[in-house]
Amino acid sequence: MAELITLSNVNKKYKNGVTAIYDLDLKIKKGEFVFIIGGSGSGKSTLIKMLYREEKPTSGEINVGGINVAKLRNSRVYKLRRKLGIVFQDYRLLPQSTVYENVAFALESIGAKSSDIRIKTLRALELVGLKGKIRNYPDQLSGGEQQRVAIARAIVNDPKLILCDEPTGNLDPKMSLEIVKVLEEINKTTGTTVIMATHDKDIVNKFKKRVIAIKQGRIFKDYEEGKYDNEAI
Amino acid sequence: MKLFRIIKNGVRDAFKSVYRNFSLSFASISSISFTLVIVALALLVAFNVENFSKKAGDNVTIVTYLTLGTTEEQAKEFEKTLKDMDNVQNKWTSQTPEERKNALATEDDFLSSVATLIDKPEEVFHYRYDINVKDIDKIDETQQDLKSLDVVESAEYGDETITKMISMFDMAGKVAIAIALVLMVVTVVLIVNTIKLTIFSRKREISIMRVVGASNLTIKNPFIIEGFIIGLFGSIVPVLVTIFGYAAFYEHLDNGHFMTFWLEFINPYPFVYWVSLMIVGLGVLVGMFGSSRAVRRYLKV
Repeated sequence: MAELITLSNVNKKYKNGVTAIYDLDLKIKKGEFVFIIGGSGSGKSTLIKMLYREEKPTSGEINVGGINVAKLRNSRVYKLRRKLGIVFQDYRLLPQSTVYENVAFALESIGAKSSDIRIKTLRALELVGLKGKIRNYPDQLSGGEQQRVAIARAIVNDPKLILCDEPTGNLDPKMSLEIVKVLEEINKTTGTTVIMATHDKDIVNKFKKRVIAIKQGRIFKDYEEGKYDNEAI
Repeated sequence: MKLFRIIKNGVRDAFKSVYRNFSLSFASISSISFTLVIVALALLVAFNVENFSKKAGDNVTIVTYLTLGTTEEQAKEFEKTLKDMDNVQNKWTSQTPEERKNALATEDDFLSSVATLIDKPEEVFHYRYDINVKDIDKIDETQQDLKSLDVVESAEYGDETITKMISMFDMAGKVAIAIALVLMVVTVVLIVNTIKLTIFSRKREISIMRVVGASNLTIKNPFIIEGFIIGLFGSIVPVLVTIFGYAAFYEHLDNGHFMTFWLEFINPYPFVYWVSLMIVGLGVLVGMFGSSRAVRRYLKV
């Protein structure tokens, strides 16, 4: 399978002098499901942020789906973002909008046709199992359901890649499991690559996916069908 | 079609936002209105000064006499020099000594009998040139230039009060423009703040738009349109002032004539419509400029 993501010699030093990533090389193939683990301040969030060009690497090359992310101009970032879906720990939903509107908003923002918006939005909501709650507002939903809305929003434009930055960080174990199951389902049925940063031990151990452990800005371990390694933290 | 949808959504959001932040929008609109009234006055004055100067240039002539005994060649040479002078209109009238003698001959009996006595007109009559200038402000310089030529005996023009008055009007116009410029800066600052408030209330929305891949244009669009709307509303009062105010002023001056026959104000129609168009254009541009400045900061990753 072809590589979807290639990082070579990537360094990231923040303006305050903190170096978050040291000389990182990484390849991720199309259709993979990858956990990125590591303690607080290990650099896993920075890594995810560099993949969707929220942060720029100080040096090195990042290629995501054929886009040279490190050299991408601000005005062109949207081209990258349209190829990926992003899920955050805090869901980032619009509180004044319904579930349906929240998901449709992603398509409206990129100027999709209204007939397409309807079809795609409903399909995405069905995939995450929320078709029965499209008229509800976020505050009428549980945390897990809100996160599923966010996932629906992330997948509604058929991305090649879903990036999740601690998506289960605010959820109890049962709901966390539910969310990762949804992500796994999407990964299996659509072949979308999923990268999930987490420090949820149980989840990582349960799903037996590729695990990349990051420690002090370097890749500490990288195993296929890995488990949560306490040393990594 | 896609662009159309983006603009349609932008217009909807912009109107919502003007309504939501009504008090600050209203402040911006008032500020723009006030500024544009001054700008309108400045424009009306400036165009009329321009018109006066042009008319004055046509009406004020420098009457130039060449020295006695100037030959035909020297006169030709002088005409060449005239052609090269920047501020001289290319349509002067001239009279040779011969022509002046003939002109005298067509006068009454006494003068025509005098004319018959003149054998050699070049010894009695000077070459005469009536010269009009392009820019009345520079008439003094042109006069000096003419006087400095060896072949020129005298170069004089009439009514100095006219040129003084015109430079006074000109000054008034410039002061008005200076005031308008300062006010324009104040207005831009006010608009920037209005739009910032809007952006603040939609910060979450913008961050999500960025995440899902909305282009900068899509994100900017509603704010630019909001600036456009503020500018458009802000120009209503100035346009009314321009159209009705100027027309009333013109009527009041006995159809535009002021003091002398040629010091004539520009006919209000269609003049006021053009000025109004400029005012609206300016208001809209200032509004859009202000809002795009305000939003720019939020589009950096």
